[in-house]
Amino acid sequence: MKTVVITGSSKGIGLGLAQHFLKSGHQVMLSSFAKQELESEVKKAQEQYGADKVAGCACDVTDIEQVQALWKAAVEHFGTVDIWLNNAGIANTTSKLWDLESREIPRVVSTNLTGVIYGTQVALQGMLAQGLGQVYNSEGFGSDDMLVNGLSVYGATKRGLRYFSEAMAQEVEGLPVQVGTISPGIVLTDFLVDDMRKMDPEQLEITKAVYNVLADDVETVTHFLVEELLVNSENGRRIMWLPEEKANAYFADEARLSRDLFSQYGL
Amino acid sequence: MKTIVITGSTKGIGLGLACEFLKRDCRVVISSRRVAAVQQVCTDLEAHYGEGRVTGLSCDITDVAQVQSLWDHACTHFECVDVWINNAGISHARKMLWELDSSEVSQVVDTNVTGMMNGCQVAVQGMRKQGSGCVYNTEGHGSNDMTLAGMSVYGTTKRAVRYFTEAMVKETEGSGVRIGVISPGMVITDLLVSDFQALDAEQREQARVIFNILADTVETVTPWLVDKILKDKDSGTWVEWMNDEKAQQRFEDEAYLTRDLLSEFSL
Repeated sequence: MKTVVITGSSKGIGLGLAQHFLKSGHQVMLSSFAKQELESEVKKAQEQYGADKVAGCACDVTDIEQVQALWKAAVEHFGTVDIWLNNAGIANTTSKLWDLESREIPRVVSTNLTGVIYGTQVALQGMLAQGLGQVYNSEGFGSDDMLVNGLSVYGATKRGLRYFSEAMAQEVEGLPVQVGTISPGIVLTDFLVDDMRKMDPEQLEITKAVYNVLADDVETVTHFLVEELLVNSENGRRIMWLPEEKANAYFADEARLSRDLFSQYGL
Repeated sequence: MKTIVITGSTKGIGLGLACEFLKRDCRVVISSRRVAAVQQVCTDLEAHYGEGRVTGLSCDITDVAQVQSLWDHACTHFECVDVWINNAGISHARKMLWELDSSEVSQVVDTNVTGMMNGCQVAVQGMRKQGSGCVYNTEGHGSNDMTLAGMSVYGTTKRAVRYFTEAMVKETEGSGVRIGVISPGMVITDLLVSDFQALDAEQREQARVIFNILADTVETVTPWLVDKILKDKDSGTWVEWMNDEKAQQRFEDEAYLTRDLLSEFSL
């Protein structure tokens, strides 16, 4: 039985990951900066999986003291932490840099970069003291150097994060801890749909065409990721749901090409 | 006569660039966080290069309002801005992540990523109104995906700079605004010397060999960079002092293998 800490796990991919770990009999520390949402999900999960299997701790990942408190809470509750997932992340509004609200820049950078670095730092400090553990960071658009207008800030943070994960895998080489990444691809979350609602009609049509082929639901993607996470022992591993070959195969698949995922959202 | 704004230009490469632009009849706006240093450098440069072509304003680039003030100050003083150089950047102690002071993490990310993005946003907004202008970002260790134990955070920020610059080149296509990169390589500055001083004896001997072969002085690198910048008419230009090929040649050149650049610092 493993203990897993997941930042940003009160909804979306983070919550999906938590549920699959719990279903497989593992222990999870849920976390989010959204306190009420977190409390409600912790309560639901405890009812389903037992109060000894799951706990919650509110955490703003951009505040190092709160990240340290999250580690402490996990250890106090479960003893050791086997896997720490830096999943919390936010995107900027899809908008060219000159039209972007200035305050979005520090928010995205501090959550996606500083927050992930803090999480890695705190987890590695604790794991090196424990003598075991794995840290995973969440890749996203930009990690593979793809560019699209309007996502420069988000993409830069996700590209930086991939570099960071590679650098950390190198730093921990030979130590009893591992660092890797998970790459969920395009997942049908509220977050994704909300972003689409803000698009102009032309952008929306292009996006729908791409997402109808490439997107998958939280359940499908997180199931795969958790299975892989539970067996991985390789340092520096990238666990990817949608590598390029698979994306190419999707575009050649008639069934994927004729899907309509978004009419249910009125899009 | 061109007007150049340079962030972080009271010392090191930034100051070197300012001097070379002034030698080539440009007008320069000096900037750094330190008020007294900005005043002193402006006074010194005016004494050396004549009055009327230098002005300065202190600016903490992590605060977008201060970056806007820097743009406004430049335009009030010199009417327009032809070139904006996001040069300001900081490094951290060369330590494994788990030994690094957390406050250094946020400072480096805020300055090297958020600050650089703030500079791009303000400059591109202003230049779109002007109808022309060029913004350069500054690369460093990590931009080309090289990793080095103890440099993970700095390298991450500089990898993010490369992605972000590529994204900006694409976003500004057809807007009249040009985007480029300055890659100065390893330059003997306070930043590099203080990094070197922080190393232990064994690390120093390894670093000394590399420095002596690959590093150059501000006086060698900045005239070359400035000539390239003033001739540049394209967008997406990488003004790179030290490319792989040149580095390779140096490792085979007796003249570089026997240099001693650090003796003047008694190191």
